[in-house]
Amino acid sequence: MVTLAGLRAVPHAPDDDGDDRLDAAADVAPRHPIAFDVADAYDSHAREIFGFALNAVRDRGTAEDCVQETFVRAWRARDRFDVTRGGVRTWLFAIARNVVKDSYRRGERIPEPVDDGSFPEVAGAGPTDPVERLAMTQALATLSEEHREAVVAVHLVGVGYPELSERLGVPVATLRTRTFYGLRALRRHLEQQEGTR
Amino acid sequence: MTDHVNEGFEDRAAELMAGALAGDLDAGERRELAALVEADPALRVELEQLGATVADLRRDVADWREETPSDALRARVLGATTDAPVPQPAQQRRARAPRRRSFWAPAACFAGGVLVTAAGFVVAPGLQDGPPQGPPGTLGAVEALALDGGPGAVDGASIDASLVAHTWGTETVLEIEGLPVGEGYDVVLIGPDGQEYDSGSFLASAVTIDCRMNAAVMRADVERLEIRQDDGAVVTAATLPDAVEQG
Repeated sequence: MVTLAGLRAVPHAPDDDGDDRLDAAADVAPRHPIAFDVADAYDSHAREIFGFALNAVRDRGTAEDCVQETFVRAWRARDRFDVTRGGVRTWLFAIARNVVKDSYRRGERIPEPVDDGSFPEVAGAGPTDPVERLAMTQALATLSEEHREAVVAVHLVGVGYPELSERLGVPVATLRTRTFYGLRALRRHLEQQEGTR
Repeated sequence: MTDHVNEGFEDRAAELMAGALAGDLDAGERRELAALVEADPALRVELEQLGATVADLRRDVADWREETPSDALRARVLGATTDAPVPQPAQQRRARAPRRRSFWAPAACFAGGVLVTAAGFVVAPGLQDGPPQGPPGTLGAVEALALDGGPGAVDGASIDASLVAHTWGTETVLEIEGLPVGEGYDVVLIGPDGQEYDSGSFLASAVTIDCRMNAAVMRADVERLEIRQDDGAVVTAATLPDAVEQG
């Protein structure tokens, strides 16, 4: 029995069509396929995948379609998932990233950065690579809610720690620590993503 | 940070570095952080790395929406990921080439083998010889619908529609010909209280479209089906009889 949410061991089954990462993985290592329990996986990971999709496509309906497509693709490729090559969460996010890219391509809706004057240093930076923006969105989506709340408030919205402390009823020291570990997790997630691109 | 630091030290360093990254340190804290960095150069490296991360974050993400998916999405996902056989409408239960699943999507719409987009999805397995029979709402039974044209009706178009009640919602089965190629259409189920349940959408094709879509609403709670143009004009619609409650 595998302890990861949504997965349990089963005998090997033939290939099905799946995402590129799975195709690549299948060529270099023996597989240890597991059954994919969609309900368990959904309950464990759908919320953060939705958060990623919503902030990538900026539309609730499209984001929900992306989540559904992510689980459908995972379900179709369930025989090819290799638990030794990463957890189901990592696998689902890899699929979700491809789904969102497909959504961009279908609608030719590559989002551009919004310069609302909040971050003057951004204005001069010019448009960035959509893939880079997608990577950051994914990384932010994978943070714990507490870490993301602090990082977004302080570094995106621009709320000062004293004000945030008053608003949340959480000591400044705690909020600073949450922000630090949130940023550190963000950086590590980006490094991991670079390793899989 | 180095391995020798204890947890309290690390948390204090973390707190000070986070404050520094937000420009939120007072003079005493700045001196304290400077002393820590002087004693452990790894802290300076981490501070610089996190500073770069903050810059990238601000460059790549304009803002963040913290929302949760709808309750209906779970039912849609579970409905779209099942091996349960899906019966064919009686008029379509004829020999035909095996269908392949679409690459894109939740969609299970095909136009001569060409993908058509849709929000719903159900695996189309082998045909069944004996689908369940019964009144509207009978699980698995195919319920043929009588469609009437609406304000957006298209001359020469032919649309056959059936419903299949499932434990997880209601499936709509469509066969469509003659709609303007490339135009988008939405399929909507409507409850007696006017609540609308999105079943999916499709693009009209030059060839016959076989399309299956799902909505997260039980058949007994559906009163009407509408197929609409992108601008909302109803192309065709059916008022449904009362259904038995099952499942």
